[in-house]
Amino acid sequence: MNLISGLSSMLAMGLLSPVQSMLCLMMLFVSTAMCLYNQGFMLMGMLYVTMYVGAMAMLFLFMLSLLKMEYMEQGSMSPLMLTMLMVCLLPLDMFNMYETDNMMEEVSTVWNELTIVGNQFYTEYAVLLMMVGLILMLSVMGAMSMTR
Amino acid sequence: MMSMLTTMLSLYISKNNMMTLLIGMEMLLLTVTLKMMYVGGMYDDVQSTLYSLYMMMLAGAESAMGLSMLVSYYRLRGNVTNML
Repeated sequence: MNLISGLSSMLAMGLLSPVQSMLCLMMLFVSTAMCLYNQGFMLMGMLYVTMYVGAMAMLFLFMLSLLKMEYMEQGSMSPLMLTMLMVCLLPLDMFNMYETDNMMEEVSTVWNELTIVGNQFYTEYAVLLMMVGLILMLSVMGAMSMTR
Repeated sequence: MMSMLTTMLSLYISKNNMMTLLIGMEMLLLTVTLKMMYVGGMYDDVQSTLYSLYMMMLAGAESAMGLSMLVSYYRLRGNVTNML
């Protein structure tokens, strides 16, 4: 799954058309979410799928349909560059120490994680949560005023 | 270090269109968040999950701002090329 995410990220950079690179970005996010889900970070995996593939990719696709992109028909990734990149990055993929192979944690563990995160968000970090909400609203207002 | 290397490489490779620059930024934020989540999970800590949630929200705000800037650039110039 790590290899799939790495390959899709490289393809997202290197492909010519924006639609193809968008598709590869979605594939990268889905594979990252599956990686997180398999390694026990179930909440973040599901949040990545809902937020990025649901919202952000829709935003990017909307922009793609709105704008008339001009892209150069140049192969910016030469095969030599790709091969050197793979040679440099593959040992990091093979010898990573964080990856464990525990599949599918129980429901109680996930419930516990969700409870802890919710408790922290609504009690101790409530001010930060409100500030992040304000930042999101400000970004939406800025986008509206900029594209008006 | 790893995320910096990835960002440099992605910004170097992304010469096709303007959209890949934004995609590269998203990938940078994904890399940093993922690394932080793994390090937090190694120490069995919940603060990394909270902070990665914050980073996810900020990435959403950043992406919206970048795309709106792209739209305003398109209104100003008429087309979007890879040259600024």
